[in-house]
Amino acid sequence: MRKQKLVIGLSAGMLSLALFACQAGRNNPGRIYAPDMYYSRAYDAYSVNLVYPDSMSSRPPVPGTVPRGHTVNAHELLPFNLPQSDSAYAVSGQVKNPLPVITQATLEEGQRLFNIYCAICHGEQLDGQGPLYKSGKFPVQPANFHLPQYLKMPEGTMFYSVTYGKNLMGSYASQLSERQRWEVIAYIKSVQAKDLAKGADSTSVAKK
Amino acid sequence: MSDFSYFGRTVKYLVICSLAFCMFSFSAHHVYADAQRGKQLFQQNCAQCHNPLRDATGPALYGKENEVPGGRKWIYNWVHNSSAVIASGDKYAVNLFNQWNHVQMPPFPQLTNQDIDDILDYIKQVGDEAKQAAAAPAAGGQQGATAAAPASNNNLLYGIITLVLAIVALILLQVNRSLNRMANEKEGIETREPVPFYRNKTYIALVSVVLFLMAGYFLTNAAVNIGRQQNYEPTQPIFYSHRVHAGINQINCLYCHAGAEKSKHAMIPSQNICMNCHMAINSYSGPQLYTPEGKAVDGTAEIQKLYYYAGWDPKQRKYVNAGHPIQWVKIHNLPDFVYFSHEQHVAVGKIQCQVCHGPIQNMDVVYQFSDLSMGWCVNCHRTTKVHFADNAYYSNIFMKYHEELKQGKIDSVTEAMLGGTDCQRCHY
Repeated sequence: MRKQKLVIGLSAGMLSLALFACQAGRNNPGRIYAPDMYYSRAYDAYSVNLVYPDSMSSRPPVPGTVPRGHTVNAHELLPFNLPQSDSAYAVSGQVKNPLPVITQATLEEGQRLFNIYCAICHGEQLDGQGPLYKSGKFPVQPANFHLPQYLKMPEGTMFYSVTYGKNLMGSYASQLSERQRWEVIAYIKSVQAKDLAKGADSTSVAKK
Repeated sequence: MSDFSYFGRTVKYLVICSLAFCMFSFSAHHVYADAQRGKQLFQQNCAQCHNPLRDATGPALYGKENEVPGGRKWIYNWVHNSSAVIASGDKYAVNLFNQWNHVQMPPFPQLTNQDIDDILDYIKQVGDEAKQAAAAPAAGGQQGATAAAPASNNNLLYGIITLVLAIVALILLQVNRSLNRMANEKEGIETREPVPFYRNKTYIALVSVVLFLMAGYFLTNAAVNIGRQQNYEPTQPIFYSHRVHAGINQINCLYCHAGAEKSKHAMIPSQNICMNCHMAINSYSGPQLYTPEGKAVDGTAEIQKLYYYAGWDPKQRKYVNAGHPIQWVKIHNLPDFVYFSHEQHVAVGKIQCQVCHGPIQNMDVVYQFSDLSMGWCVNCHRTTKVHFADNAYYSNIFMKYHEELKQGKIDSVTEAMLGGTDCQRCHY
């Protein structure tokens, strides 16, 4: 009789242990063997860091510094250093695309990036008819790059707008590196060059 | 006689009705006569900053016509040269300019008064139509809210059915035994006094074995799953729905997670990336959202939470304070002793996000789709064929495999062949 009780007791104990170890609820990440390896004690990119007054571990670059590899070509180009201001916008047109050569590969990469980051509003045809605008969610029409004012917009001004934002468009500096921004603009300009070659005037392109 | 008068009345009534209808439709037609032309002009000149119904770079335009001090004449002046109107010291104009953070409306001298009239007609048409549409379907909206209740879980039903069947089986067994005994008694065969089940050795042995197996199964499973968080689906500080953004609105994953092809981290988007769109999109208009528990979620209120975190004042349309970090709950957590880089997998390996993260474009609340166990990693490395031959990353290395591919000795290169199952590839 004692043996019998022992067996039943042992089994019940194991069962309750197993149930205890089970995870419950979608908000419970469950148990881990070595918490200090799973939840890093070193600062992670997004962790709270009380060393800094704003308590963030991710730091912006020190003003005036150039992160390695973040410019197009360290010898040929200093980073785009116009500040965000109306007067800077006015002179931004003088900045030229510093990419040394624009190859087919540059344009293809520019198109890929455009379709990810820009086409959601500006449309894959660059006509301002992106999915967000067409579905009526975005209240104003994004720029249609086939219109004359954009055909003649200098690439430096475009770069300023992508870097700092313009009107309801925000800054894309945190998503696109300087090289990528110039690649996107090279792609836009290559499409616009086809419009200009066709001698397109405002009436023929403005059709809906 | 009475029949005739009835007929006459009906005719009269019909005539009046149709006349009224004609007049109404004619007048409506007249008001919006040039709205079509106005629409085109609006799209070409105004739509980049203005929406008829919603504030954008500039204010919503519907109703402004009745609001401005000098009627249409004021609007003509404003459109032709707004800075001159402000400079003239016009009180309404100065107020407007200050209220909109000193954003200057560019002059449109090329628009004639007729053009502006047409545009205003178009704005009025859009606004009137929206008003009518808002007044009509009050009943329809309510119906939608109740209809889309989340599907219930079937497990409970299966459990009840199993229980009922088990009880039925037990009763049948009991009946069978009683009948047997009765039959035996009738035939005069002596039956032994039945042993109660808790002292029946066969029962005890059987139950212990089953209990032991079950306990072992659960215990082993639980032990193996320690440190894995499959199906972890935490509540986030903002009810951000990937289904709405990546699914319905077709926003590319990389738009927000721009780091996925540039760094180890896929990048939790910073708030300026949210605000790229949400500066303008301040209300939610998609399908009704539900938490996994089936509670309805107000999408517009969730966008307001974003404004709080970003320090954005939607009324003044500018950032008014430094904001607060959104403390998203991390779901996919690899321990420190594992190296993992998104860049390698996304940029070089060209692996789709969904391979590891599951149908993310259908998730309202993200859950961990894969268990992220080592076996899961290694299995994929063993079976995944690498984009090898036409990949610039591999063009000058692993020449042996290039040779063998050319000679036809192998038809593909798996990740394991490139050292993808070596310990130190991920643990160092």
